[in-house]
Amino acid sequence: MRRDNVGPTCWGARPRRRLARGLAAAVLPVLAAALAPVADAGAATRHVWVAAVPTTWNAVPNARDALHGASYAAAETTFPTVAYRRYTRGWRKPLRLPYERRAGAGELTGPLIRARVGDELRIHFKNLDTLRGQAHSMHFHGVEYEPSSDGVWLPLHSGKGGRVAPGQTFTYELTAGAGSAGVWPYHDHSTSMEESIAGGMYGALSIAARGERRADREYLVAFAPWHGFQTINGRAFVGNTPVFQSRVGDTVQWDVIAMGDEFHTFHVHGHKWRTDGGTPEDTRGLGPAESFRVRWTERAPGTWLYHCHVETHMAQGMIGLYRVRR
Amino acid sequence: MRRPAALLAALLVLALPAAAQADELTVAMPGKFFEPARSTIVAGDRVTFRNADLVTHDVRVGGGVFDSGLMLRNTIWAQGFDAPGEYPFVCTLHRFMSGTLTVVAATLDATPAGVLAGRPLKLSGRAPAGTEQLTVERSDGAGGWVGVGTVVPEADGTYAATTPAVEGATYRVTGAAGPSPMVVPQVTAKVDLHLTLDRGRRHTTLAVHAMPAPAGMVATLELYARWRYRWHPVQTIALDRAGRARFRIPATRRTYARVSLRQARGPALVHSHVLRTSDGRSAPDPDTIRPPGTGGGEHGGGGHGGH
Repeated sequence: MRRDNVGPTCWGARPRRRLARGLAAAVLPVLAAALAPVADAGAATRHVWVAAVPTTWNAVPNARDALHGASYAAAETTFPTVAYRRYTRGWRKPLRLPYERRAGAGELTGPLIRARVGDELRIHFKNLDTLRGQAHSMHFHGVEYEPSSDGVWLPLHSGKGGRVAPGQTFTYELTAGAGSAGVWPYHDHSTSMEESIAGGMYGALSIAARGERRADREYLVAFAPWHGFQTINGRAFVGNTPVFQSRVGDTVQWDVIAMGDEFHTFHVHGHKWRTDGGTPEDTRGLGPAESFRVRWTERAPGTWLYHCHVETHMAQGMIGLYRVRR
Repeated sequence: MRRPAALLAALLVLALPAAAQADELTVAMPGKFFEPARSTIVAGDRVTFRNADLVTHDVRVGGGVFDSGLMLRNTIWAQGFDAPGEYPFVCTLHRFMSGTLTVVAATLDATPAGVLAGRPLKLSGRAPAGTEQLTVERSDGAGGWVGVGTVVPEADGTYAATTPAVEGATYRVTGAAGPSPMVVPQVTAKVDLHLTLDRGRRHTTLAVHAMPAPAGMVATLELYARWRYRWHPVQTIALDRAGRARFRIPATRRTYARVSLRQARGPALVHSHVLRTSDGRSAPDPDTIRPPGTGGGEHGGGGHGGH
């Protein structure tokens, strides 16, 4: 059963904390949103403001594939596109939260939306696509919703949320139900979905289990093709893809999703993790719209590679650096 | 010094795609004004005046050299311009509606905006379609012009050539229709940059000396971002009169350093050699490191890859 919408930035469910949190949210909404990860002990209604906006994106800003000694002109790697952006309440101004910066999310890929099992999510979406003037939507994996919040274009059946016209808004009402703990992709599922997803209109939900402590470091790895490159979070080749950073002793969580038409394998050098069944592994595969998260406590200082182990993908840019300091 | 043969040899003609006809410019009258009011065209181009207003206008060019007669709404009038010069035009029904056409023998651009003396300077533009040859000229410092080479334009008149940049020189191209407007590229005399490094307990000092001391230039310390594989500008300061500047970074910073020189707002004109901040020794530019076997060994030249 859905909880009522209790306010635009109220995530506290315990009455004794509601007043203090409401005050903090009114005075410093941005700070309050940033503090959400440490303040989400109870179920909440979380409001997220997202817009589809035009942008110009360079997948290779250092103009190099340093591993292979190749160079690229900006004209070969820079293209206009439309992407999801997090905004402050009422879509007043773009916002990238500190944890999204550290996770390498919220640039070409959409915001990394955090929640906890039991939470209600209200995703307020506005289509500001002035580049192509196309309709867009948001379709979420892993969470529960009515068909009206499916974000899919289905003639004769879908509502406004499946095809939000330029200039229009829609609020998707989602529930992080039992069994939703983990990482899930979201993406455009409107009439423009093929072109929009190829241009970067996807992102990830990161849902913590009840009582679960958030990792010290959380990284997003979104595998997807982009204009002939194979990208991680919209970038190609070491130095351009996210340089994830941690320290020995940190708990680190890798949120991995894949979009597009291809199969990928996630691999981190010098590290292993365990499957749900307890089997150690250092490479895990996933196909389009599949996702998983892996965790470990960091013990291996140094500079490491992480990449897709489909070797042609690695050669086309799907590779990055992971730096662990003592 | 006059070495026309060498200069002619240094001039490189570049091929550009062709379209063998003159350009068309449209000047609209969307209301009681011309849009655009000021334009530059090449001799032989045609200009179409289009009355997109709700009322009647006319166009009188050059005090009556050309006259459209009355132009009702949604009508056009086209006129070719063969002779270079300034052509003011006006609507005689609404005298406040005015504009100017500048007809040139050829257009001329010089790139890059800032360049060191002796480095390639690219001159490009467009001459009248069918122009057989253009002469590239630079000022000789005594009020005259000296030819530095010739270029054969494409059928549509577009052309491009490179020539070694000369400090303080003005450039133009001359063809059958006369000389183009002049351009004065920003050319700086050749500068040698010497970079030294002194490691202290807490700080590392980098001293740069530009010889000869260039006037009005700034020095930028760049450190290499080893996890991003690119140079990052860290600090920019003006050179003193002797052409010297000093930078200080924490002694714990272990990477590569170099210094670039530029005019205050211009592109980098010259880079120093690269030093390792850990021990002050010279090192190859990390950007040039190539895997063995991909051309030129581990520190090869600039390869280019596609995908």
